[in-house]
Amino acid sequence: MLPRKGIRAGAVLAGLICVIAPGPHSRAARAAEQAQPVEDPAAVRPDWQTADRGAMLGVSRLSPGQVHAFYRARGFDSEAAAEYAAACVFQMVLRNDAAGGTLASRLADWRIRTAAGTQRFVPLEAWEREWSRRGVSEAARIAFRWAQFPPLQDFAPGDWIMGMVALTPRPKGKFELDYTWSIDGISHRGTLRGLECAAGD
Amino acid sequence: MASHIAARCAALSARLGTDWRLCLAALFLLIAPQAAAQSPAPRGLSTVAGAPPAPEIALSDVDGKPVRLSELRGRVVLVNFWATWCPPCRKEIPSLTRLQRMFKPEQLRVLAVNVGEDEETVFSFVPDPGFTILLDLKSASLRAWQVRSLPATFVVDPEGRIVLRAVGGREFDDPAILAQLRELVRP
Repeated sequence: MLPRKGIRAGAVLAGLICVIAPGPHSRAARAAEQAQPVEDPAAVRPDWQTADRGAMLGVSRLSPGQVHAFYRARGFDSEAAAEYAAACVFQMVLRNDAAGGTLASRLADWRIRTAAGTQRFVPLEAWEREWSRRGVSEAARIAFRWAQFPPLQDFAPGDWIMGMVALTPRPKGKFELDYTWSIDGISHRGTLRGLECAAGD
Repeated sequence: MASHIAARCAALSARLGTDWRLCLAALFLLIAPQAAAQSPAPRGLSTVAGAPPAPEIALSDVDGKPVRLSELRGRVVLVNFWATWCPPCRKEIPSLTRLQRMFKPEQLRVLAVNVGEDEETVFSFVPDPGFTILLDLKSASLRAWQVRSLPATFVVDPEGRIVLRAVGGREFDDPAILAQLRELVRP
């Protein structure tokens, strides 16, 4: 099942969409798929983006349908995939273009500011505990872990990553993301405004 | 465009009674930081401080043949951690194929460590990549290599030390990367 809407946000997951579709693929079909150019996920314009002191942060919302399909194809059962898809899920890209040193990010320091208060992205360990409790297969849990935006990461100039983050409960209306990172140990903060969760399918 | 800006600067400077070159310099200072922020990132690999010894990798390839990193001592080894569902990983795979073709196997070997997927999934995606794909079903090697995100790439020199690394996708036949690798390869 391919996503029916949210195509612009889904473009960030262009490569993922190719591998979402479950079911048997012939080897010829796979080869044809492989021959197609894979869109550069870093080159796709995110829904929200900032270029800040030589770093680029991009955020794209993912629809529940996209998220559910992705994790079903990774081996999650429908209920577990639905639990994650029910959160407010984003795909984030962070890139050190020319920050002038090593950029270090720690996701636990980032905050969401809503009309109702502040919240943080759900920590990776919390999801891992939940998947373990639900008996999600090890292969599916490994895929989940590596599909998430990492809790800690160092970026030399030229380095970049993309990964998913999730908010529960889903914030209502627009909200702000206060991000922070350090460059060669010097802390920097900024805000990305006007973020919104994707609408339900 | 440049001549237009220079003409505008000259007109403005004449009105204000200042040197037009000061106007151009001021414009440059305004524009340069933005241009730097928008310019593409360097596409090379970064140097790993201290060149630590590479942790052992002992895994099987897609044919079930065991491979040990330590047995490749004496040549440059590019170790790439990846998964088929990871878009930047998928994008850089063809450049790994081209890179391996550019070097003799006794000079440089590409080892692509797949994370958590089975042989059928990997084989279906890359039936004949032209380099060695290893299967790490438990993703244990990523902990030893302190990988935090995919794709991640390390270059091991002929003495078995990690000397270069990249976080995120690259084009491995980029001239900047080729130059870095050629410096390491023994003639």
